[in-house]
Amino acid sequence: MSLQLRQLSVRYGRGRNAITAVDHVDIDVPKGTTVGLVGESGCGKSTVARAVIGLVPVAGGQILLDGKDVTSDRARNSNVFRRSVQMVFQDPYSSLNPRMSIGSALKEALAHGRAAEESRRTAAEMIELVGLPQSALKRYPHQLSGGQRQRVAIARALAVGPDVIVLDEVTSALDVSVQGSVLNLLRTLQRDLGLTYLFISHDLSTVRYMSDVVAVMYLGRIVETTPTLELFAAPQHPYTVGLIESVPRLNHPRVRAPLVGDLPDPRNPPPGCRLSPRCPVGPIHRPDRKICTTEDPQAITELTVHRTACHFAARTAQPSVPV
Amino acid sequence: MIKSFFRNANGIAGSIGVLLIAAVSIFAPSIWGKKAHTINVVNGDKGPSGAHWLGTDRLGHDIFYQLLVSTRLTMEMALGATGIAILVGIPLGAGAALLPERVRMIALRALDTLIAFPGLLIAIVFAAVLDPGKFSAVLGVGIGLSFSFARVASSLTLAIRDREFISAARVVGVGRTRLMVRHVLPNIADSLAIATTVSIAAAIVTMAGLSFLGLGVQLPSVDWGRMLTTGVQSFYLTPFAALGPGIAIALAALVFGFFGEGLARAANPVLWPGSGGDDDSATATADGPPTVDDPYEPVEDGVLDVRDLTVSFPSGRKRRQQVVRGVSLDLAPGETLGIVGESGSGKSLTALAIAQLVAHPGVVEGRITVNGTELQRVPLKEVDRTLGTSLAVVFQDPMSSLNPAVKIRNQLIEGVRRHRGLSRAEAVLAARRRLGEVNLPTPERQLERYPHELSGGQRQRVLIAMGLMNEPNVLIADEPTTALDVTVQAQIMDLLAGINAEHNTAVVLISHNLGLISQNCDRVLVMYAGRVVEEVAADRLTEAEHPYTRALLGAVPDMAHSREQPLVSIPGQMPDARSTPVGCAYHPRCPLAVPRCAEQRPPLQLNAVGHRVACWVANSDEAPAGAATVGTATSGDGA
Ligand code: SF4
Ligand code: SF4
Repeated sequence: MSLQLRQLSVRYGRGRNAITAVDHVDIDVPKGTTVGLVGESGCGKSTVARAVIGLVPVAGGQILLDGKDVTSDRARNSNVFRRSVQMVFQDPYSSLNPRMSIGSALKEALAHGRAAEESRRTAAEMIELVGLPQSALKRYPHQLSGGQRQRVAIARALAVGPDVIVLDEVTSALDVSVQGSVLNLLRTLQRDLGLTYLFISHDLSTVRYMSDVVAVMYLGRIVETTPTLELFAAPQHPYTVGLIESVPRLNHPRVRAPLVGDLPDPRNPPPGCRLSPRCPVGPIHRPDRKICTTEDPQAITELTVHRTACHFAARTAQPSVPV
Repeated sequence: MIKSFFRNANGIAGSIGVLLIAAVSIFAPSIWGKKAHTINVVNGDKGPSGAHWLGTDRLGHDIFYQLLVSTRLTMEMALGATGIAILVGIPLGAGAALLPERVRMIALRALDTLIAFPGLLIAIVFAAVLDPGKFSAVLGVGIGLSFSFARVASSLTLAIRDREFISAARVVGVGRTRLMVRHVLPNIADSLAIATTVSIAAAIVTMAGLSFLGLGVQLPSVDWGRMLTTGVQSFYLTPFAALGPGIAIALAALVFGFFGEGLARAANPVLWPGSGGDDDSATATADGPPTVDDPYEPVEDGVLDVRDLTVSFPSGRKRRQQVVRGVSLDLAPGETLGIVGESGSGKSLTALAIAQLVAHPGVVEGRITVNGTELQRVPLKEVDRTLGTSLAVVFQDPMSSLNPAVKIRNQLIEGVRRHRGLSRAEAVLAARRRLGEVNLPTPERQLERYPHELSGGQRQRVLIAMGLMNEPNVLIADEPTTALDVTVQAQIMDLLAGINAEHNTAVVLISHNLGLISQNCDRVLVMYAGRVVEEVAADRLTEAEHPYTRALLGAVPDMAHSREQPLVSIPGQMPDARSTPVGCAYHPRCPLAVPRCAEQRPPLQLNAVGHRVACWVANSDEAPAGAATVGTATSGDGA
């Protein structure tokens, strides 16, 4: 199944404290592919996940599943939707009920009305699918390591039989040495089961490794959407360039921090382009570029494969990363 | 779960008590009913005697037997009231907590108001409306107690309703009822069990109050409360008439308390005996036959020199586990040394130990020399001065290293005033200069702010400024950017590099991020299970030889990793300090392991290119330890 977000907006709070956490976001995830959503903390990427999965209400725009509108809270909380779209959370310790054995957690996720024998068999299959021994079914979350717990969380999502899985920072809580095996598992499952992934992470290298297309998010907005290879070879939005240059790399000398300052207060985003107070090619370095503080570049972007929301996107940017 | 209940002392004591109470309640009336009800006015108001162990009341009833016989009614009423409180209170409270935010606020306020009414008052209202007697008392006390139950249930539910597993269960399609029964209730059950037992005791006491007012149990029926009331009236004549029921009430409360605690433990799988990681069957922390690491050449004018550092913590009965197991390192002036490792590798504890920050009951051994002062050989005051003036530590979480209630200015000047005896004005001036050096805009304004008014990146800058106040020549930065975003991380690394270049401050950078370490250090130590397993020049990190380092390099995607190739899967996990394997600690996970690896610890050996590696295979001459071998041997998707 394909997943599409059309001008999706999510708002939190009321009055002066209101935050538009997700602001007119467009994302296309074609069937069987992975779209990476990358951004720093507070950019709204996890809110996108929670909105898709029905955990927060949508303030505007549409969510389409295979072209069908599932935006209403009722649609996203229906059983049909749950069976199509699932989610794996960041921290596998807090996303598993500490008082429930792994077996019960898996059986609970299976469609209701199954015979006990059948659900036991399916739970056993799921645990095997994610590469855990059958003995894991009898265990409780605290008896497993972080990597094993995340495999259980993946098995639980799979037990429902979804086509689309939203993966929200699935490796950030894991130790370095087990991240590789969890990512490998996700890729194998996608290949074998034809799954569609929305892969959300703050880690650019992981997103690069996992995704076919990458959407870069900043302060509630998508600033650039591009096929992965192209994005890392020739990033065009100054934020994307800065983000890529900020990632520490082996065999690569350090570069000076490309972006200055911190993320602005999302309750009170800067006028015009949201990156303008930090942008290395914007008005703080190029006073002639006044348009950045007056016109919102979001307005000029069109829905094409390679989209960049910037008045001065570097169309001729140098490839900065070997691909 | 049942097994676990009977294995804990509370469970045993509680169940014996409860069984006893139950037995007395069931059998006492038929066995001793007659004795208890015999009226003998002549013998009234007598103290304890052989015939009447607790004496008699005004009508000559034997108090001891009356106590036993009235247990049934007392328990029936207390349990009945608690039952009503549970049935009404828990759904009320848990339900209120699951309401949408607006309505929830109103519902919770209403509950708070209702709690303010004493249960006794509500019971009195019920007794007044209905006829005074057992039933109105039970109903009244039950409703009265249900509000505090509701309050407990609502706050417990509120605490877990936003826990991720609740969201996760909703996402897989778990309905509301099941969510309550299987996810919410089990996680608040232990607290509710305790609330229940407290409530039984409270019910007994409130009932007594009602009886005292003539609204509870009506004569000729008697419960403990009624007995207490009558007993109190003749306290100076026959104290046991009041003490007897008083003690009975206290004992019953204790018994139910133990029982509740036992239940709470039994309901929590984390507390089940033998469950967690604490099985020491596989425990053996020996290294096998001793081996000797290659010695270090002493560094000229070294600012930091650490030899055979160990940090250990007590682990159960008279045993200690070593978390850092013999780490040696040195640091030249102006050098940047990286320590890389996963959680549990001992890298952070190494830093804490150097800064003398390991808290009791941790024990630090080994030799630590800072600027030529060997810390173990000088008086504490001197240690304090040496560390205060020459070494600074910056931690991962700047918020918890700053005092939230104290202005930045006061936190910054404290150290310099103590160690360098500056006046207040001088110290503030220095603080302003330091804040400027760490590139905080408008330092004067920042000085007057509190930590929570700053962003994460700004706080980390403040911490670094604080570290710089005494112009140390060693700065230890323990995961200084792990809590920060990459664009801010890059700024902090710029800052550290600037400090290093400008003041020739030596930096120890601790991180799990190989890229960060390789870009920002001269030399790298790789730690695994409390030991240094490899030491290599930072720009040659990709040529590392230890199988663990090699696997780490391939396990996390980096910007150059081929997207077609699988990542390296390292099977298993880092052993915890209680179960470090014999020999090479990495051997259960190592694809190159040979039999010797499980028997004897490989020493850290200096090789031809100036690396130090602790690995039998990498250090043997016919070593096949090429990068490619290790990479492909471990790739694929193992568990
Ligand atoms: S619109 Fe202006 S400020 Fe915004 S990213 Fe482009 S150049 Fe920078
Ligand atoms: S080859 Fe042996 S000594 Fe070397 S890392 Fe593997 S297990 Fe340890």
